Formats: sequence, C-alpha cells, structure tokens
Amino acid sequence: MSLNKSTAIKTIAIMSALAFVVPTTTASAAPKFKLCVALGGIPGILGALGTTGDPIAKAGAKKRGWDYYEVSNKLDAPTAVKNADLIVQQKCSALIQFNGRPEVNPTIAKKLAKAKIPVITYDIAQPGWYFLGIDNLAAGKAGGAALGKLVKEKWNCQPDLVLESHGYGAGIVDAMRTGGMVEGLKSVCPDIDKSKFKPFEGNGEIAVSQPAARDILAANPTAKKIAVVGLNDAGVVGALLAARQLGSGYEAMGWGQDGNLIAGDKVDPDLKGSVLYFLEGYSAYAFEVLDAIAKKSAPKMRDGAVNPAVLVKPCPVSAAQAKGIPTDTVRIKKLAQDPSKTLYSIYCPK
Amino acid sequence: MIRLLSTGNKVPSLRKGADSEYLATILILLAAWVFLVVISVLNRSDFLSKATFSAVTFNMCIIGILAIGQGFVVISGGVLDLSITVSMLITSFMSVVFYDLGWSTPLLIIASVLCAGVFGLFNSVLVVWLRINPLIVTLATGFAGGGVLLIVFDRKLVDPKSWIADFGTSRLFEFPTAWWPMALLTIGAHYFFKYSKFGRHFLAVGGNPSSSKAMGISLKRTRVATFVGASIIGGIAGIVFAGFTPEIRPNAGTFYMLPVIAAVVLAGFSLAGGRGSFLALFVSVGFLSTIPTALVFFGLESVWQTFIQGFILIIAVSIDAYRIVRVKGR
Repeated sequence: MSLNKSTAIKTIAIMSALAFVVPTTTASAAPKFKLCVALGGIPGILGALGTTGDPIAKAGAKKRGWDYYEVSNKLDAPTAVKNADLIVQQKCSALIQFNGRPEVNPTIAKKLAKAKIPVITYDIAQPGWYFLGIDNLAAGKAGGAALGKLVKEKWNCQPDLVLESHGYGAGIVDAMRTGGMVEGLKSVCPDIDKSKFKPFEGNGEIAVSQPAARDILAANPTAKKIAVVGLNDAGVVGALLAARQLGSGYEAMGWGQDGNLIAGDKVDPDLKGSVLYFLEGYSAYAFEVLDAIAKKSAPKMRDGAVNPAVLVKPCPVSAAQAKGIPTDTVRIKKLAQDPSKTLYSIYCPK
Repeated sequence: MIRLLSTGNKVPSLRKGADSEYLATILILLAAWVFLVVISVLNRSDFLSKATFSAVTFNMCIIGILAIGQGFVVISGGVLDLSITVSMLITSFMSVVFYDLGWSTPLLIIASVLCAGVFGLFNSVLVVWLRINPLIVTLATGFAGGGVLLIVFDRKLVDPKSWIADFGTSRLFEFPTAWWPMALLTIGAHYFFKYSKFGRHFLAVGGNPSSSKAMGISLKRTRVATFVGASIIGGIAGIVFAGFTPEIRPNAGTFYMLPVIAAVVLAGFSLAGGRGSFLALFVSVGFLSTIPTALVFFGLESVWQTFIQGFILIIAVSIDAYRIVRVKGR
C-alpha cells in the first residue's frame, strides 16, 4: 500500500510541525530558574544587606526573568537551619547563602546537597559551596603599598615601628590580609629592618588591640614614628589610639582593611585610609556562577578561600577619597538599578 | 568576720579583726606587685619609664571600675554579676546617642549611667522577687542584653572631636584622666563599706543573711540596691569605655570579664559574701594590669595574660574555697 501524494505531503508537514511544537511545549513546561537567597546579615559588616534582603540579587534575577525567593537567617543558627528546609521546599535552582553563624553550615550543607541545590557562599568557606570572597592577598598588598607611599613621603621609609594588628583566629584570611599589608609596605619601603615589625594579637577589636599596642609601645620607648597595619580597621584604630594615649611625642599613621571605620565623618584622624570590599554588592559577582548554573554548565567546584570560585576586587581608598563614597544603603540602590555592574566599577576611585 | 556577724543582735563593727586580714592581703599583693616590677627591671632597666606607667594606668581604668562594681555584688552576697559589662555597654551606647542629640555633658553622664541603673533594677527584680539564682539571672540578662543592644544599636561611632574621645586620651596630674574615676570610686567604696552604717548592712547581708534579717535589715532592699549599684558603677565604666573605643559594639565587653573576676577574687573578696577590701582590690587591679606590660618586656605577647589571669583566678578561688571550708568547720 502506498500513500497518495497529498497525504504524504500532509504527513510530512504535520511531522515537521511536531518537530518544532513538541520541544517548544516541553521547554515551556520546564520549571523556571529560581534564585533563592538566605542571608545572615552581620550588622555593621554586611550593612543593610542583612536586614533589608538583597536588592541586587533580586534585580539581577528580575533582569534574567528568573523567579526569586529570599529569607533572612537573622544572625541566628536555628533560623538558618529552618530556612534551609524552606529553600528545599521552594525547589530552588540555586542559592546564595551567607550565614553569620557558620557552625551550622555543615548541617545546612547536608540538607541542600540532598536536594541537589547548588550554593554560593560569601567569605566563610564551606566544602561543596562555591566560595565568593574578597581577594585578601591583593587587598593586603594594596593597603600596605598605599601606607608605604605615605611612610616614604613623610618618614623617608624610616618608621621606628610597624605594628601588625593580627587576628590569628581568622587563620588564612589574617595571614593573607595582614601579611599582605606587610608585603605591600615592603614593596615601597624594602629597607625597613625586620626588627621594626611587631606582630601582636588584636583580634580585630579595638578593646583588644589598644591595650596590646600600648604595651608594645611601652616596651619600645624610643620608637616615635609608628606605622600600623592590620586585619581590619578596628584592629588598626585600636593601635593608633594607644599611641595617642601614651603621649603627644608619638606620630602614628595606619591603613586599615574592610572600610568599616573610614566612611562618614567620625574617622580617626590617624587612619589614613582603608581597603573597601563593598560586601553589600557581592551578589553582582555571584551572577558569574549563577548564569553558568542556569545554562546547565555549572563551573568546577571551587569552595576554598585560597582557590575561590569568584574573587572580589579590593578597592584601596584614602580617608579623603572615602568621604566621596556614599553610604552602603545608597550604594545598594544605585547598583540595583544596574546589576550588571559592580560597586567596584561604580565607586572605586580610579 | 562571718562568724562574728552571726552572733550579734545588731549590725556589728568588725573592723578590728577584718582590718588585719585585709592589711595582710594588701601587703601580700603589694609584695607580688613589687616583685613583678623588680624582676621586670632586672630584665630590662627601661621598664621603669613614663610609657610603662602610662600603659599600666590605662590598663587599670576600665578593669578597675568594673572590679569595684563586681566587688560590690560579691561582698553583698550576690555571688557575681555576669552582666556587668552589658551595664557598661548600655551607658557607652546611650552616651553616644545623647552626645549626638547635643545633650550637655553632666546631663549626658547622669542619664546614660541611669540607663545602666534601670538594667540593674531589672536584674534585681528577677533575683529578689522571682528568687532566681543571681548567677543564672545575670548570665541570662547578659546574653539577652547583648542581643537587644545588637538589635537596637548594631554599633555606634564616637566622634573623634568630642569630649568623650578627649576623655579617653587626655591626662590629669600625670595620670590618664580616665584613671581618676576608678581611684575616686575606690576611695568612696572603701569609706562606704568601712564607715557607713548602710555600707555595713551590705557586708552583713553578704556574710549572713538570716542574722541580718533578724537584726532588722531589709534583705530585699539591700539586694535591690546591690544590683542597681553595681550596674551604675558598670555604667561609669561605660563612659570611660566610650572614651577608649571609637567603635562601640555589643560584644565588646566580653574581654573584660576574666580580668575583673580575677581581680576581685585575688583581692580576697569571698565568693560566699561578707568579706573584701576595696583598697586590696585597687592593688589587685594594679598588679594584674602590670602583668601584660611586663610580659611584653620579657618578649612574650600580651595574649599570655589570659593564661596567667586564668591561672591566678584558679589559685585565688582555691584559697577562697579553703577559707570557706575552714570557717564552716569551726
């Protein structure tokens, strides 16, 4: 039996049409990519991000036509664990997770791994989660070099002491940041004698670094020109204050990290600058990984601080330059208007 | 001293026996302090310098005031106030708030210290009327208070051009200006507990509450005054803390608890209550504040102070426990 010509043409036409219609129908039936965000929010560190959600992630998802769901971990471990269950129930395609209480991260990781939800995390590494964080070594070197220029200009690269305010508990982050600052300083002033570098535990807290620095200064009574580097702004400011407490004979200047105490009008007069990370804008970088996941070509897992999935570029700023940078709330609004940019590209002084 | 309190029918004056005991404690502590200074000088002759003097006196400021507040609680039988650093932080935060509002200095100090007093009143309500163990109460309110400060304030920045910041770096008669509140409070506390009738009520309640009650002393009123008073003293430390710390955070007080308790116990304050000398406490604070500076002169990092303070605390608590057992055994 053979088909007549018109029937054959109809059959071919129907089959051809089906070839296009079926996959299209199937595609539209597939679930939309759903970006979920669970932020812990460390007040003062992640600024407005912790309390008001993540407008940048939301804007980025909207631009891509993705569904969006967010919860707040409220800096509370049980809430973060409970939120992990909500994320699983929501059938999220990917999650941006930052939890200020990392001790529960392994529990959360198990739940999410079981549901096969890829996770991007910020600054605190968790095995199996894409790590997105600041380039700590570059941040340290940039801050140290900036201070080095001042030390060269003012003291002809001859400081009496270089106080290193460490936070040893931060491990590799401290080694890269504070160690990087020393490297950066030496890159400008290579002849500073090794004996002039005085490392001490500042714990990233003024209340710890201040008395420790006072004691070091007392034990070095002839040292008057003091340069200070450290893990963060607080650790550096504590040491600068210690020098002022011990008397007017001291001349001290420091360069911090994290930008926490360099913005606004209440800046320590001896804090000459800091390195901004723009933590509140991290999500703009996360789309680098998220876009790949959405295209079903997830990048190779890089879950460590040493070998991160995405490195955020640090931005060294002097105290004067910092005055021209608006608050984090304003910055977030600006970036949310165009999430294809980064806060670095918008605000970092050239 | 505790024994004598239980036998009287009015608030007794126990100065004679207690004085010799306190004097012995002061002399022992002074000897230890002098020994520490001597070996430090033998190690490095430049230990005796103006910079060392400044470092030690600055170290004493906050710890000294908090230790007086803690001593107030211990001597009155309140065991320990584990929330005293929260009292300090409440005042620190409020002083910045009031400064930013443009309040005058006296009003700012009084109002912010009173805020800490309200916190102490809350503690005392839980201890006195709900009869909850003071350790549990102050541990809980310490955590809860820190949480509330985090939610309400997150952090506060002190204006580096303000008088508060000047207060934290300036000097008065060669001493840090911030050292004087501690010195004056020490003298005040010494005279209050030694010479005033009301002060001896605290000692009596701390030493033997049932006898004190029989003598007509209001236990409730005394306990309320204890926790409110300790919080107010903690609040005074808060003004100093704001002067020292341009960025005030709710967790910033945690570093003070160990040296404060170590200073109180080392000064011979009995954790069972009713016994302690504020002059000995002054010497104890001075001795403990010299240790971290001396360690640096010996080439050790000041982080060793935590280990040494912990070690001293264990020895002092053991001596106190032995003393309590000995008194009970009589």
